[in-house]
Amino acid sequence: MLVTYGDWVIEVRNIVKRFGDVAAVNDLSFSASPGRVTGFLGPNGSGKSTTMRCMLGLDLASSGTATFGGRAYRSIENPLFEVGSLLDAGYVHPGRTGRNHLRWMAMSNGIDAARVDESLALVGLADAANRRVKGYSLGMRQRLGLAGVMLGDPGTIILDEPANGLDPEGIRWIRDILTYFARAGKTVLVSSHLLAEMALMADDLVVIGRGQLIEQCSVDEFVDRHSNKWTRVASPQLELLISAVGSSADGVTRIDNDPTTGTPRADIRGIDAAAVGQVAANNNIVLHELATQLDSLEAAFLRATAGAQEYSTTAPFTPPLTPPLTPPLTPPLTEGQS
Amino acid sequence: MINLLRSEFFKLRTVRLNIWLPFGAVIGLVVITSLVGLLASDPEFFDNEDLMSLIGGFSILVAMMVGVGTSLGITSEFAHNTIRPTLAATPNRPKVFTAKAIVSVLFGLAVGAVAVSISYVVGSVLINGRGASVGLSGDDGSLASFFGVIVLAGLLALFGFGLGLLLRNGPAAVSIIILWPLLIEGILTGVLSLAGVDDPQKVLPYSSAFALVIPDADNAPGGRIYGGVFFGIVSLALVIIGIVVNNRRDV
Repeated sequence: MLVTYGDWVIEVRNIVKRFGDVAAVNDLSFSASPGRVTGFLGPNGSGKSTTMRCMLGLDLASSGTATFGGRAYRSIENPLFEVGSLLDAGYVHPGRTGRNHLRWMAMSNGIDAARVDESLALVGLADAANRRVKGYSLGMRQRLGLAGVMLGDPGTIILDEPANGLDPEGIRWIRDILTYFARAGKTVLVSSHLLAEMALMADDLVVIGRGQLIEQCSVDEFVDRHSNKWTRVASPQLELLISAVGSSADGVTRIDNDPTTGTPRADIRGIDAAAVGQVAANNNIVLHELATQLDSLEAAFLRATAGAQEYSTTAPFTPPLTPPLTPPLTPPLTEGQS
Repeated sequence: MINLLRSEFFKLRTVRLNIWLPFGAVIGLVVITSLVGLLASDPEFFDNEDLMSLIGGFSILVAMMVGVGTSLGITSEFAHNTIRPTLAATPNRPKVFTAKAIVSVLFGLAVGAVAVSISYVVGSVLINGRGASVGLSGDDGSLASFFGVIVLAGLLALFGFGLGLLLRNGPAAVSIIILWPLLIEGILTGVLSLAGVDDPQKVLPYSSAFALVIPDADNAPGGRIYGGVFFGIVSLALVIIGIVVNNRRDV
């Protein structure tokens, strides 16, 4: 059954947050709509977390406003029913059990105690509910934080890096549940560095750099705008096709043969797939593959934010030629360690 | 507000340190009272005032542990950043901090009541069993001292919370709670005496508050009521300043 959550548009208008002389967020405006997952992207230090804290009234914005359905967060009486937020899974007292952490949250907003166990079951933590949080792994803490988000079944959800520390199953789960929430009509704003995941889950993007808005649009528009586009072809008559395309193309790169069929392949720039197909048809050339190729969201993101990196490396990383000979100094963490 | 009070009380009692610290101090007070009741020479000369002087004197340590507990309660919220989910769940900061202050005071009053009641019952049973005739009386100040212990624990709970809220730093707040009466007001008493101030303890809040637990409070500068009200105003002022400051700060 779908529940109607009302018009919970998130509106951020001209937020400025200064720390001394430094403007961590500078005149930032964007919005997030109900029924859509809005990805909040930016390089490290771009002001994403500061913006989210300002939206929730935890940091006091130097100027500007953030509203949820037209109301400032600090004016909402029992916000867990309206806005669920998780800024950092580590914001839990380590000596308290997972269940007790949720119970105080529920009590503060008058949420029924039964909802605590429902939320714990939803995130798969029912068996660990009575363990102290200091014994939780990072992934378990993320799940506990998400249980807190779900306590009041809010219409708006704000998450800062929710997939941090989650295993592949957990990442898939968070993607599925956020998508489900959006389809149920909720407004979902989520920041993440996992761009491949964002590409799969987000409908819209808000991209910021150095505290300023770089772009707000749909994921498809963003990738389309900031990606290289080319046509990939596979044909047993590849050389004939390349000569037929001729000067219409900006460039041709021969790539490895198709691993399955062994058919020669090439990437052709400056001419779209339809035109290549037409040329092939006109010349009776057999095609095994004809596809438009785009850069990934990651490539588009790096291109869009190239001038807005607060911290960047000076040289590309080069892997060592030989594996390290000494074992790691610390053993790998196991479940239950943090 | 009721939901918030329930939530804050639940938070207080679900962290072990908040329970064990004052509980340990209560046990200590009962042990000391028991030893005195068992080992005191000439128990037949032990009177109401002697017993409440003993309990009142050591209950100051219990009250200080309560203050340490409430200051650690709020500073640990900042240290572990749990203040963020707290204020995300209830964004009205003055309301949150007021609820925390109320819960702290109630907690202090409860610990004070438990400490003085158990130690008094144990002490009076033991000493009366050895030939004394000890009870509580309104005439000799023992009854007022009995309730004074409870009030002092409540006020020190408020004081500890206010300091913790203002400083946001556990070690600093705990140091001040312990060193203020032992060191700072001790030095100030000497300095003010040298400067010719009569009854310097009268202008020192912590020292004034100790009149609450002394049976013979008439001899204390300002008296019992003055000491309690003065320290209460100082503690309340700390809390109010803490709320105002934290309402304007990032968390």
